[in-house]
Amino acid sequence: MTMRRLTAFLVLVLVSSGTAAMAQPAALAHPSHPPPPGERGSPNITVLSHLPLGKAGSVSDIELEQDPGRPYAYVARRVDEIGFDVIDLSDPVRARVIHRWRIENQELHQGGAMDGRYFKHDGRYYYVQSTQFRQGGPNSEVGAIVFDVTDLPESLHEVGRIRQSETRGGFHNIFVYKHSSGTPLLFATSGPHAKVFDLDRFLKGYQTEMAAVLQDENHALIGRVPVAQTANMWSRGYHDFYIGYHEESGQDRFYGGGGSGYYVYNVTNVAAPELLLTIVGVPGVSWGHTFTPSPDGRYAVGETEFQYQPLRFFDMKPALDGEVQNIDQAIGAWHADWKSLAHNHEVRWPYLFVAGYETGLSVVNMEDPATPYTVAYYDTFNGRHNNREEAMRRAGSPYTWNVYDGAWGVDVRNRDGLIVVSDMTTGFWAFRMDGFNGWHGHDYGMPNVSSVQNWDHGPTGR
Amino acid sequence: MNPFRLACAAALLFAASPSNASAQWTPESPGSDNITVLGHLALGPRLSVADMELEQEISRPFAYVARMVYGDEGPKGTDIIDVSDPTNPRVLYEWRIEDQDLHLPTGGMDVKYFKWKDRYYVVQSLQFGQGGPDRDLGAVILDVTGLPDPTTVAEVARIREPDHPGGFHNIFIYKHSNGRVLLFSTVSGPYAHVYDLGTIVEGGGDGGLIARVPVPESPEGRGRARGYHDFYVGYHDDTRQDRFYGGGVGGYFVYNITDLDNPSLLVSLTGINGVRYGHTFTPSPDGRYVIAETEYRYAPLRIFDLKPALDGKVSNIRNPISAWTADWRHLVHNHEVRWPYVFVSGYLDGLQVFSLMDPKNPVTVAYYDTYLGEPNTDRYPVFNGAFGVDVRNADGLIVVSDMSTGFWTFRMDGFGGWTGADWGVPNRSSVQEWDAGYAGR
Repeated sequence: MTMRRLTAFLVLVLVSSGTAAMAQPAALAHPSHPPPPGERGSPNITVLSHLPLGKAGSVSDIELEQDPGRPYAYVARRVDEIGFDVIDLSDPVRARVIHRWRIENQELHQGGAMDGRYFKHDGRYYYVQSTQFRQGGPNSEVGAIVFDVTDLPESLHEVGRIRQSETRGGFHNIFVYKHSSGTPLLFATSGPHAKVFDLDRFLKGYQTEMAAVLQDENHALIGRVPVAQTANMWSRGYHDFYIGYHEESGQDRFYGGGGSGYYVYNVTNVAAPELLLTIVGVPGVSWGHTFTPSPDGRYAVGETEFQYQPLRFFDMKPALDGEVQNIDQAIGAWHADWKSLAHNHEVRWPYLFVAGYETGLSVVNMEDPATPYTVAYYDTFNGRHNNREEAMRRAGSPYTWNVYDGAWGVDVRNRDGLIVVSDMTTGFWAFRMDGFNGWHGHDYGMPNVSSVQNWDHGPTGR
Repeated sequence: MNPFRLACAAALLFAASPSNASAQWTPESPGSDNITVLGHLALGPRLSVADMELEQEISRPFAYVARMVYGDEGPKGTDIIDVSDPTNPRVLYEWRIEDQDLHLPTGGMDVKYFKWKDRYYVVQSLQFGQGGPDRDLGAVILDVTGLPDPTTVAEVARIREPDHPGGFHNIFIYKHSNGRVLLFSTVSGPYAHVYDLGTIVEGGGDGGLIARVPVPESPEGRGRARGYHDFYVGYHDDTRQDRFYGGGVGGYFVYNITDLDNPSLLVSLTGINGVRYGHTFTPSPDGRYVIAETEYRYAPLRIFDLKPALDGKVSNIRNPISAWTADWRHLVHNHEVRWPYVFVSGYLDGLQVFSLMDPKNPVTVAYYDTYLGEPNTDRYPVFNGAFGVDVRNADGLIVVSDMSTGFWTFRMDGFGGWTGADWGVPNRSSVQEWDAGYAGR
């Protein structure tokens, strides 16, 4: 065990001991809002960098490369600045923007860039930027744009665009997964499915200049993961998903949020997804959003994109064991502020890193999923909460009270524990959490499975 | 890692108080300083107490507590409690369904009283499960005029609905502007039933059913098993309408029921994020604001402003203007509005009182945790603790029925009674003017 992991283990033991001694989890209390000056974060969080990136509301999701020697983060941009920013983190306390890619004719486009994922294939690095453009402007059929970023920090260039003319409106969320077959796959929200694209096939289709013009836009589309049909469906499609390898069964598993809740499929054979379980009929959950399993695939964190909804923790064992087909209640829940809403999250068991919109970054211990509790936080947003007037001004609708502002995305670098957050209004942030200097599943008695992929060897090579 | 930082982190994790969401009520200090417990009366087994009702005339100091079996055991009926000395409440009478052992749970649920031609009556709603007798029995009516003499309590009628088995989950009694006293009940159908209680207690009519208030079509349907879950009926002074406020399949609905033969939908509240089925739904005295409950864990009470719909600008409301909860991990249940106060029976969080002086910013003003136990492990976790609440307008007496700890009486400092005029609002609450009626004011 390395020194940093020893330290992390020590802190975990201390926390666990404290938990037992107090008969309930020791928890940090988020301060009431607004926090007093200088108290935006818990003492165990250190801000390394902060980069304001522009106009309020122009920032969406974030992705962080994992390999040594590639200290790059990608921040998606939407509204007025449509594209993504590449941030150099070679010195995390002096983060700097090194590239700003923007779509051509920005002013003609209606929509923006949303989710972003990188991957490595055949020795080169790529970044996939999902886009959502409405009809009435150009590129409404474009769901993602693929860039070759191998030559960063010097340069990057566009490789091609993934189009879906029959289901326009782009891809709201994407996930890139190194399948057990060895193929890098792009999963994308599109119509009533999660569509699966073979990125190797996609890249090979662009090896001639005319390929982009001549080829079938579905040439790399190799699978569709359906949404299991239930009564009174809130949505017919997916909103977000995670794909992970399940070591115990040797299956590639798809964890999707959308429809009327959450769905788990075996996608080992991508052409024939097999439904393993559903989580629908959960009171308060009419629609699933982000959905992420624990490394062993037993528990899952489910988000619902409505104000007042906590993150819910589900135990999927009864369904995975075949005792039931559907799970309809959570075993635990967590909120930073019940009047707000938490958004995206990353699981590094037992920690859950949360981009909590108006509450900023939170870190939750979910070792006991029935009683998750806050262990660290930093309020990246720090603006007025529930600002309905601002929502009206910005969005022209009181659909929300502007709870959809603040920390949108979060990512964690496994090799050293660097935490990054994209805040819709305040921009890019880099953090360290005391006692968390990296993550490897085996240090916590878990499979080494997270959103981080092993591009060179695939999931079975871990 | 810097040892100092490690020490700080560890110390913080040890020393920090439990989650900010943790309730402030503890065994050592279950209530706020402005709440006084007057009396407490344990009533029996865990999970055997349901809703309650308090008579309003000071000369009739009686409370009615419904008894049910939600846990393993309990009676099925009604307890009548004497609160002439609120510091020493005592059970005067226990009405029980005959052959209790044969009747399958649940038993007594909601309970309301009324006055008709100088006599006082109690309506106990009932729900009995399939496989036992009286599956079609919705309510029993007791004549309680002779209280406190328990020997004078007499059953005068039973309301049955063979076509809608499963009983009445909730009821509401309203003195309509036409002078009739009406019972509104939930049934196993996509509507609320309306019964003329005067007709029933006088032994006339054909079961007393005179009208139905429909559940409108919504994306959730209209409800096959039970359309409405709960409702409130009140007079609207500005328009001189009798208005029905119902929570059920799809959300919440407001009807003009001045003409009972033709209920007219005024406002719907559907498509609300996180609300597929409405529960308790109560308006402010002027009918502008409503407090809406949704019966699942983690759901706050939502506050809606109906004005845009009542002014005709929109037909549906889907966004609350604010929300309130005692503890987001739990769930609050029934409530009584005495503007600007909302008295809440908050299940695991006991009695709670919050103020809607500024409806966009509800503020907790008092509390007393009548239930200090843990969430259930054998039933839905948060369905334990304070079930029902009522307030006597004449003197501000507050009463709570707790599913496990029984009957409680309270005073809140500075709340010596309620009349709407004192707060600049119409004198409207769940309390009825039996002798004058609304239109007579």
